[in-house]
Amino acid sequence: MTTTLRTAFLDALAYEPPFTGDALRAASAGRRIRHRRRLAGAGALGAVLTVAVAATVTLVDRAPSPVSRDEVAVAPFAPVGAPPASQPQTSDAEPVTAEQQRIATAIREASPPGWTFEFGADRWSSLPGRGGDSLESTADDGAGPGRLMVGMSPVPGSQQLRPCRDDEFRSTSQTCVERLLPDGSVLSLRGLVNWEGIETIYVVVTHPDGSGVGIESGNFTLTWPLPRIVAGEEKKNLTHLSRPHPTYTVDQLTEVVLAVDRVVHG
Amino acid sequence: MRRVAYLLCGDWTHAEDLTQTAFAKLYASWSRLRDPLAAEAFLRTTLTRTYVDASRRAWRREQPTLVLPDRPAPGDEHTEVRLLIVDALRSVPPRQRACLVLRYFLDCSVEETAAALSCSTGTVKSNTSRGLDALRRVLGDDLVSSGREVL
Repeated sequence: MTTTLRTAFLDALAYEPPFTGDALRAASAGRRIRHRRRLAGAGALGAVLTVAVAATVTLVDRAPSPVSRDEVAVAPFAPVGAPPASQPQTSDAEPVTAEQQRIATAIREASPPGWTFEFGADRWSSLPGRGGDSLESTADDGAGPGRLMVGMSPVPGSQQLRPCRDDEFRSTSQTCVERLLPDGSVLSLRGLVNWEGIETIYVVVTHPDGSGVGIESGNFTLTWPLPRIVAGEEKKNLTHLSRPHPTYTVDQLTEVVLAVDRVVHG
Repeated sequence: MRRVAYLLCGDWTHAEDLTQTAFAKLYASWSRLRDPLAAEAFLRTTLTRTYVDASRRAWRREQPTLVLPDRPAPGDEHTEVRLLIVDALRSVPPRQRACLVLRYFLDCSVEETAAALSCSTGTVKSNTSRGLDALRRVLGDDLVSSGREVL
C-alpha cells in the first residue's frame, strides 16, 4: 500500500475521541498569563540590576508558582492508599545490556549502602525520537520503596539547560538551586514538590550541548507493569503512596545523577 | 488545532493540554494581535513552539503514562496501519516531526514553517528531509511518498 504523507496523517487521525477540554479554564489561564506579564513589566521599570560575577552557585528562591498544574500538560496523581497485594516486592533482578548494568552499578554505588532497587529488564525503555534510555525503578532504604525515575538524554538539544527558570519544572517547590560545573554543565536541584501527598524531588544535569541526565525520587510507586493502554482518568490510579517522603535527599540524588552521567556521557 | 497537536505528540490527552495552552496564550495576547485574522497563524506558532519546548523537558518522564496513546483493541488492517503510522511519527525527533506536520498536514510553506519554529528556511528543509528519511526507515519506501517535492 502506497500513500502520501498527508493521507497517512489523516489515517492517523481516524480515531479521534471527543474533546474534553474546558474553554473557561483556558480563558482563566490566559488571564493569569496577562497578569504575570503586567507584573513583570512593572518590576523591570523599577528594578536595580545586581550582577553576580563569577558565581558558581546561584540560589533561585521563589514563592510557590502561581501556575496551576492544570494549566499545562500534567495530569494530577491521586493516591489510592496501600499498593495492591500483587505489587512486586523490591528486588535486584539483573538488567539486560552491558551499559544498563553499568548504570545500575553506578546507582547502587552512589546510593547509601544496603538500599535495594528494581533493575529488571522490563524497567528499562528507549524513548522514541530522543535517542536515550529511561529507567523506571524503585529505591528502598528499608522504609519502603519509592519511585526512582532516571532519564538519560545523550542526544544534543534534548534537555533544557536551566530548568530552574521554568515555572513548570519548579512547580510549587520552594527552592531550585543551580550549580555551574567546571565544564559548563548546569546542575539543577529542585527541592520538594508536594501535590496531594505525592512528594518528589528532582535533580538534572545538562551539558552545554543539551544532553544530560535527570532523576526523580518520589514517595510513591507506580503500578507495575504499567498497562500498555491507559485511557484518560485511569492514569490517576497508577500511583500508590508507599512511604512518607522520597527515598533520597537532594544531596544524595545529586551523587546518583553525577554517577549515572559519568557512565552515559563518559 | 487539537489534531495538529495530536500529530505532534501522539497522545490525545497531551494534545488537549497543548491545545488549551495555545488558546490560553492567544487569549492573553489577543489585544496585541495586529490583525485578528492572524489568530490562526499565532495559534499554529504557539502550539508548535509549546510542543517543541515541552519535548526538551526531560523531567516530563516523571509521568510516562501520559505518552501512552489511547488505542482501541487491535482490529482490522486499517487500524493496524493507523497505529503503525502513529508509532512511526513518534520515532521522529520533535523538531523534524513539527516540520513534517506543518508542511504536509497544514500545507505551510517553508517560510511559514520557519517562522513557526523560529529557524531558517534551510533548517526547515533539512529537518523535513531528515524527518521523511526517518519515516521511511520505519515504514519503508513503498508505504509513504511525500507527494510533493521536499526541496
